[in-house]
Amino acid sequence: MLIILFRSVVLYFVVVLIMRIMGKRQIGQLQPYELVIALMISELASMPMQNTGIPLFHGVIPIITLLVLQVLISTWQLKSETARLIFCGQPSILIEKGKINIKELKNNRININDLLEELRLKDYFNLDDIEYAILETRGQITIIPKSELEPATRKDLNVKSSQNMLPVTLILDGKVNDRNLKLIKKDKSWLNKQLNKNNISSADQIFLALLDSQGKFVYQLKKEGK
Amino acid sequence: MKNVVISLIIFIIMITNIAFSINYLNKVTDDFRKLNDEIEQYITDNNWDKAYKSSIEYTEKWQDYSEKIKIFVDHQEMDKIDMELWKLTQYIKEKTKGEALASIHVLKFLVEHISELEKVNIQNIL
Repeated sequence: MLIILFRSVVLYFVVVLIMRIMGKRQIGQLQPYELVIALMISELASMPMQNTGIPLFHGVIPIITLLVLQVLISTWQLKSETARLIFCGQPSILIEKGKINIKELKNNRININDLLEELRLKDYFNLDDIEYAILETRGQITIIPKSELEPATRKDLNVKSSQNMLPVTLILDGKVNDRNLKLIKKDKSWLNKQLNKNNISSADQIFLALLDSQGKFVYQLKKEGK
Repeated sequence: MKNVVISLIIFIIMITNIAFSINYLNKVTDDFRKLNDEIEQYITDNNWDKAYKSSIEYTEKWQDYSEKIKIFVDHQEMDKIDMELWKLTQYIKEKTKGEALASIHVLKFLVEHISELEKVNIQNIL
């Protein structure tokens, strides 16, 4: 039983490591070939975990092979258009110039209710509001509305606005983040001045402090959070 | 925080249970190891009556213990011991020395094997 425990620990860390190497894409939306790899890895890891008769390496070897395959395929895809076509396929245009492409719907085995449901989920209730609907290779539908129905932007309305900056966290749970301070070209004395201005004696009392996208110093004290 | 405590408590309970059951398994295998040696000695001495009595005692003990051990030991391993035990009693009854000695040897290995499988070492983990 202790063996199973240790095997689970080892396999867990192996799979976490492998997933980290595979990259961020493996965690979010999956391409078909990535989904296959994720499914296989979960199965491969769970088998030797509970069956102590199987050497752990019989699980780890195929997992590493899949990792190498995934890395190779995704690198190949970066370089080659054909590889992308083979492994990811092409997006299909379901609505083209306001007309539903019935042939594409049939090809992708999407019925009209599915399409309407997806459109509703994206806040389009009328079919004739839509100029294009594209089924992406990851299975999501992207919608381009008719240009007169697109939401107005600040540029359309000629409203002047300053560019937002990246918010930077300065203090997390009482700990000052020196790297971020350096990033915004400020030092500890500047931070202390900010704290003094808000009547705070030390950074320890602060749960979260950040420079928001407008460049304003925002904070929450630990005792305010309850 | 509550969830962390609960999961840690479950984990600790699990670990203590594992420790107890491995301890129990070691006790049981020690017991059977002694019985194995005893029966082997009787067979080599051609003391068939005592050997038969011991083998019956062995079977009864095994059935008693195996019910508990089956909770955490691979059933296939247990079945192998069961089958060998059924053979052994008949070999002793019929006084076939060669077969009986071979059978008790296999039993020795199998009993050793179930405790060996639970040992924490690199060979078992990897």
